This record gives sequence, C-alpha cells and structure tokens, in this order.
Amino acid sequence: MAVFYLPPAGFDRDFAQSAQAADLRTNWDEFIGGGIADRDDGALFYDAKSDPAPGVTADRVPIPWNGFPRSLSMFFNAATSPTGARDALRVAEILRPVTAVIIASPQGDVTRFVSWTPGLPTLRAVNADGTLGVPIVPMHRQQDEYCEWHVDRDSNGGIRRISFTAEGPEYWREMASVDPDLVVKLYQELIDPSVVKADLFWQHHVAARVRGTNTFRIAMRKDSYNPYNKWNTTHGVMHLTHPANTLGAEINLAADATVVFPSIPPQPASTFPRRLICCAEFGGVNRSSDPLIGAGVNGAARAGKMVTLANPVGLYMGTIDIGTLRGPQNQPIVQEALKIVRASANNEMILRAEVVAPQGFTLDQCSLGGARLAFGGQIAQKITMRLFGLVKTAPVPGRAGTTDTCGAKCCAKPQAPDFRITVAPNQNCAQVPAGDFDVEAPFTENSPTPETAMQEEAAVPSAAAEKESLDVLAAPPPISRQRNPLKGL
Amino acid sequence: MLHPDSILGTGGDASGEPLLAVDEIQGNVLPGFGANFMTFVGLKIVPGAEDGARRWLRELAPCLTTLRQMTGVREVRRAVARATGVRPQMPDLLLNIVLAHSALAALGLDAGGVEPIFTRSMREANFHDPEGVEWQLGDTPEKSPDVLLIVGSDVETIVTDFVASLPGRLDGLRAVYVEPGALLGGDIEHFGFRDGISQPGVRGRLSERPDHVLTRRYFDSGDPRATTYARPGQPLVWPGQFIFGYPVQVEDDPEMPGLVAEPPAPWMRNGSYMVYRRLNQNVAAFRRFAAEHAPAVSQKLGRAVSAEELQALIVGRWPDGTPLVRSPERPDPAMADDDDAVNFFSYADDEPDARIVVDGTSVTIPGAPADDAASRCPHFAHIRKVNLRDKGTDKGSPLLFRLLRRGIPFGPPFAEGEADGIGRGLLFVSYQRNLELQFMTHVETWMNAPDAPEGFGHDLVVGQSATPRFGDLHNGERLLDAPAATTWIVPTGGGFFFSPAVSVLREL
Repeated sequence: MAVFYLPPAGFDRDFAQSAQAADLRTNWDEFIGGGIADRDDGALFYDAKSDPAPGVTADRVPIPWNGFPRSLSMFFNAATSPTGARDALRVAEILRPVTAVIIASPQGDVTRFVSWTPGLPTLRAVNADGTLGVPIVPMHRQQDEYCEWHVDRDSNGGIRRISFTAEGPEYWREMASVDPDLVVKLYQELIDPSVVKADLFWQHHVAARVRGTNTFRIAMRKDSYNPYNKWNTTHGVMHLTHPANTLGAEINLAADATVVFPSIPPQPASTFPRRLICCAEFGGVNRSSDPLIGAGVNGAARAGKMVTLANPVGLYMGTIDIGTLRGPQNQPIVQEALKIVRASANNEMILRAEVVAPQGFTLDQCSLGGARLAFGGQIAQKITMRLFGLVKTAPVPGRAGTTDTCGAKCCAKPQAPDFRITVAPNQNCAQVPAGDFDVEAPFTENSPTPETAMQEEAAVPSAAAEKESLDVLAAPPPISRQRNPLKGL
Repeated sequence: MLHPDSILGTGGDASGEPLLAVDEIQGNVLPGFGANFMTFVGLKIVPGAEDGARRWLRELAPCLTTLRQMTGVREVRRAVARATGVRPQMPDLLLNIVLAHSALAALGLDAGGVEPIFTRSMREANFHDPEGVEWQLGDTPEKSPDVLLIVGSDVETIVTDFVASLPGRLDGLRAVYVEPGALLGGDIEHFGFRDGISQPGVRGRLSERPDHVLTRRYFDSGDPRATTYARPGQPLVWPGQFIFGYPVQVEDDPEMPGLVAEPPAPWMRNGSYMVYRRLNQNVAAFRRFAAEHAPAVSQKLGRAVSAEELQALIVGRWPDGTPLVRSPERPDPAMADDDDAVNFFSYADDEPDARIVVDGTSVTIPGAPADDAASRCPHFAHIRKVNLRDKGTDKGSPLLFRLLRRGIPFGPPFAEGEADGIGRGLLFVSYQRNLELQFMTHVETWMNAPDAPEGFGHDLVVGQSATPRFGDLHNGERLLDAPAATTWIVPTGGGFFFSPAVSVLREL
C-alpha cells in the first residue's frame, strides 16, 4: 500500500539520504497511521487514511498557541508580579529529572515517562549479569508547549546560539530503529561533529518500576535510542523531551477532545477553554496549547463534525516574530541571526530554528523588545506554535459524537489564582492540601532531587528496598501517550 | 442624588468592585475625554533646568482633568444629548500629562521595574514599520518628547488658545511637537468607517455607594449576561487590566476579581501605560487596492463583490459600523444607529436575544448568529484579529488583552478624487497596564502575524510584515494578497508613555 502519512512538515530530506529510505517512510506511515487508527472508534475522530466520508470535504484549520510555557508564567504570577516574568524565564531553562513507571493493566501494559517528583522511583541501569544496577537520572526540559530550546554559551558564558525545536521524540526514535547511523549523522550535522553513536544509544538495559510493586521491568533496551542523551539535554537540543511533548499525546488529545460534556455549556467552553479541560482532563490545564487545542476540536464536535489531524501530522513553529532583536549598537540583526533550519518548503511548518549571534558579539549583548537578551524563553515568547486539524464541513451520517460527565474540576492555587490543578468533582477546593499544588509545580534550584531523596532513604533503610527484583524476560511495554502523564500515579 | 449614567442600573450589586481613586486617575484613562478636539504637545526637559520643569509640571497638576471631573463632564454631555437629541459642545478645558521613560530620572521618579519596552523609542521597537519614512516624533532623541500634554475640549478655540499660550509659560521645558486632532463627522476615521464602537466596560465604583459605578449596566437582571456585560457586546473588565493597584481579570472567571496588580514602583499606583502612535492614512491607496482586487475576489467567491464590500471584509464592519456578523450582505442603518445592536455579536456561539432596561423600560435586542467558521466575517478582518470577543485564545480569554482606546483623527477629511499624499490619519492612543501583554500582543502577535489568534492571514488594515501579507478563506484558500507593508497606513511617529496619578505630578 502506498505511503500516506508523511514525515512531519513533509520534510523528507532525512529519509531521502538513507539507503533504507523506503523502509523509513513505510515505518513512519505505519507508526502515525497506527496511532490514529487506534483512536478511530467510529465516533467523531477519524483516520484520514481510510476516510469514512471522502465525499464530505474537510477544512484545514490551524490552531495557534504561544511557545513559552504558560504554566510557569502562571505559577510565578508573571502578569502581575514585578519579578514573576523573570522567574518564569529563569526556571524554564532548568532541566528536570525524568523517570518512568510501568503501568500494568488488562488492556495492555504501558511505560509512562514522567517528571520525577519525591516518592517516585528513579530508573535503574541493568547490569551485564541481569541484576538491577545503579539508579540513573536522565533529565528533560520543563518547556511543555511543544517548543523546547537550548542555549549554547561560549567559554566566557556569552550566548552563542539558541536552538528551538518542535520535533516529537517519536520521529527520532522510529528513525533510529530503522537506520541508527542516519541518526548519528544528523546529530553530527545539527548539534556537534563530535557526537558518537555510544552517546545516543543506551549502553545497557534501563529498568523502571512496575507501579505498586517492587518489581522492575526493562523499559528501554540496550542499543535502543536514548531520547535523553546529553546532546539532546545538557549539551544541545534535537527534539522534544518533556514527557507531555509527544506526537502520540497530540493524537490522543485531539481524539479525547471530541467527547462532548453537556454540563459545560457552549459559551464558557468557547470563551474560557480551561473550563472544558478542567472537566475533561485531556491535557495540562495550565498550558497554552492543550486547552486551546481541546476547545477547537470540541467546538467542531459540538457541531457534530468529524475531526482529525492534517497530514503531515506534527507540531510546528509558525511565526517567529523577533523583529525587535537589536545588536549592541542597537542595529537590527534579525535577518542575519534567525536561521530556519528544518521546515516545510514554504516555512509554514517549522521544525527547527536557531538564533545565532552574528560575527563580533554574543546574543546576551543584544536586546529583544527593549530588554537585554538573557534567556531563550524571551524568544520563545515570540514564537507562535501551531498544528493543523481537519474538520469535515458537515456532519457525516452514522458518525455521531459521544458525551460524558465531568471527571474532574479545577482548583486555584491560593497564591497564584491562574495556576490550577484538577481534583475530583466533589472535592472542596478550600480543603485541597497545599502540597497537592506542588506536584504540578515547576522544578527550581530549591526543589528536592532524586539524589537528595536517595540520601534520605539510605539513612533509613526500608524493608521494601531490599526486596526489589527485576523481571528481565518481559518485553518493554509501549510508551503511554497520555498528555497529562502525572495523573493517576 | 446620583446621575443616572453613574448608577449601576441593573445587574445586581457592585459592592465587590473596587473603589476607584477618582481624584488620582487621569480623566483620559477613565472614562476618556471623548472630546471633539485633542491636541498633543510634546515637551523636552531642558538639560540643567530640571528644577524648572518639575516646578512647572507641579503647578499645572491641579489643573489636570481627573476621573471625577471627567465623569461630571460625561454626565452633562449624556443628559443634554438625551434631552435634546443633540450632543452638546462642552466648553471645558480637558488636560492630562503623560511621561516618557526619558523624563523619569529628571523628575526624580524611580525607573526601576518598568517594562523594558517602555525604555525604548517606538522606532527602535520595530513593528516592521516601513523604512525610509520620516517620523514626526519618536525616531531620534531630539524628536522624542519627555512629556506629552493632552489638551482637549469640544470647543476648538479652548484648545488652540491654551496651546498658543504655552511657549511663553513653559519653564524648564520646550515644545518639540504639536499635533492637533479633531473628530470627523459621524465618529468616522479617514477611510470612512465608524470608529471606536467597541470599548470594554471597566468595572469599579466611584464612591462608597455600592451602586455608584463607572460603567452603567443595562442588562435586565434576569439575563445571564447581566453580571458580565455592561450592555450588549460590551463586556465588563476588572480595572487592574488598565491601572496599577486594582484587581486584574481572572482568566476563566469574568466575575471573580483577580490579584491586585501591584505597581513596580509606588509612584505608578493609579497610573497606566499609554501608547501614542501616529498613523498616516492614505485613503486613495486603500480604495484603489479594494477596487483593483474586487474583481479577483468576486471570482474566488463566485459572486459580485464591490470595492466597498471588499473594504468591509478587510475591516469586519460596513462603513456605518454595521458588523458583518450581523449583516453580511449590506449595511443596516437602523442597526448601525442603535448602540445596543451595533456591537452585539460573538464569533464562537450564537448570541441569544438580549433583554435590557432603558429608562425603566424593558427592551429586547435581537440576538446574532455565531460565525465560528468565519463565513461572514473573515478571520483576517481587522476587528476580528484584534478582538476575538467570545473565542478563547492560547493566552486565555480575549478580555485579558483589551485596551482602552482614546485615539482621534488628524488632518482634513478626504475629498473624492483627491491625490495621494495629503497629511491625514489617526493619532492612536491606548491605555493598558501591561505593554507586552496587551499592546504588543495586538501588534506583534495578532495584527502583524498571519497565524494568530486564529490564523488565516494578516490584519490588512493596520498590520505590517517583513513578508507579503495575505487573507485566507476559512478553508485555507487564498482570498487576498497584499504587499508586505501597507501603503495605506504608514506609521509616522509614536512613543511609549506613562500616565501617573495626579498626586505624583503635584508632588514633583
């Protein structure tokens, strides 16, 4: 069968340079097509590859949102606090520990990658003899709007380059599974010539604890691609790392948002997108992206129209409006500094962009919008992200929507009323323990780390730790596509 | 006894709304001068004569028009208009003072904590404004006023006499810019479109009385919109969106007061950032563009589209103010003449009929259909780009971005057949608490960019771009191509200012 789903942005240059180009294309088509087909349950979310109503045209509808993590802006009251905006910019660039938990269920086990918080187990290396090894703590960026960046500095601390990506981790993982050498080559070209294969692929199995047990299972096999490799975290950025920033999450969010909640009347659902997501929990309530994407999809669903994601499925940067970027002599430099590196032919769908200091100075000597450039987040605030949906122009007979009742509601953090968490619908917000808000709080310089947690545990040896075991025979479960990964842990 | 325009009217109790500092807030911020004539006078502080400048401004401070005084003027205006059907010519001299960042140090005001964009000239801010255009103010330090006087009245000579008297009276200051603005008949701007229709209704009380409010409420208390709208199409917004020291809007709960917007420096309490932008309008070029593109647009839409209709598609309203959402095929003079109908529509969802109370009588205003897919009002239409009304954005409710617009046209009205190049346009003025969040979002993120807030193209009236602009239909098909920079609106000056509380100036 002919390939239907194209690589993100229709950007085929990677696959085209591989001797296994055909396999790469087929593999990607099957990966995306499979993810979408899994969610086509005969209701309003459909698979365009097997369009149930090809005679009914579909509009290609963009949904735009801002690239800077809104959750940070709201947590720090950036709109009203004189210091809040700067705190949000600073914390956005602090890497956060990531871990994984294996969720066993009759529907099929999944591996859920999540930001580490106290109480969660860390990942563990698996020794060559098949025993459980040392804890390992990979890091992810806490930039959760499908736009992540890395700041490259010179030996004096000056900002040399700020690189932005909107590429889902699945693209790189899938490519590595077919042609690992191509991945190494692209890292060398885009990140650093000194990248070697051992940097990018696990040199041992990695185990994660099965939820509710002391058993560990292999979550990532030796020689498989390591999305948290140093060139994609501490030393650079190639693709998204936040556990919620995946293409799978994008597909799930779009499908989940087709469910209509009659208890949320149309007016607040349209005007205040968070009212819907607080009820439906299809993603992060403090983000720019999830509530808006959900509200857009839900508006079509309320009108009984079928929706899906436009092909090529992806998450993109659109406008990067840094016209106010000025050099040390106040000269406009955006033309020289902004490089669109990976994008569709017309730059409508940008996957990777860089802002590079022109010859003779560094970016921290420049200003953006009148402010000295100190953080990549200042530029992220000027990036409009987007995805493209397909909305059938009329309802399709035989494809009706489903309805549900609210599974949650939001409570406001008292010191930051725009920052919300979801709780059970019958829970009294006034009685939500303060610590519950911390689970969703950003990771700062003062947050507990796995290392400090382990030291505390070591001081009080627990009986449970002694009973830890490793099941080496079970296959690694697939990665969860939940966009709200902390929920339910 | 309170004047009817300052009584809550319907909609319940306003005791939860903050008491506004009526003698501190300058009157052009709230409720706005609304005068027939406004002249802007730019002043530079003479180096070495800062004491004189401080003294002169201090002495002028008691003459400033406050929120309290302006509310009085507004009440008389409206009462006479109601009684006679004619808008009276109020002879009051209306005066406000705003300060640029460059004035703060000389006046002894702490500049720490101000927004970075406030420290820059507007020319440096670079909104993709066309290069090679000489600016009247704001491009060089010499032409960037430290202080801007706003002088208004309904009577032209009141303004001109005051401005003419200034040179001999200034102390420590010299005038570098004088720009007279005047309303055009019918409240239109130079392209011929009625302007200033859509303004937010600012919450807040004028005295301790729970029903003495800045913005009267017209909805019948039985209408669910009574607690969130002042009148059909005019949402209520918490004053902290515009003025430091008051509760801000909460993203998803329009009835709940948010945190108080604390000023970054004490002197900024009861103050507001102000944007001044001088926009030259080339009427002939705008009309020529519409006339040239109307045939192609007709072909794409499969029906005859006149040049006038194409202009309306670009703006989102017919020239008389009739919104396309309510009347897509033609202007409706009766609707345009009805303040309760002309701005009553939404995009995401239908607006049911509104029940309002006028002079004690219940009146029904017919509702309006939704236009989520932009089949009536294009996504790229000016009024839709800058105000999504009931449609949420990625950054929250559109109410978070509203501006208080206080602009006025300058230059003579356009005469048919006139050549290009006559100096006329709009002196755009907006007040807001957060320049980045409000003004810059309007300009950079929405008007100048094709993909936000909804996508489908640029604001073809005002938006500027480094790349060619366009407007797309809801199905993504290209409807209109336009050059990167508008030739019909060309910025020719501007600056960022701050409107401080009156006591700040009195105590300089």
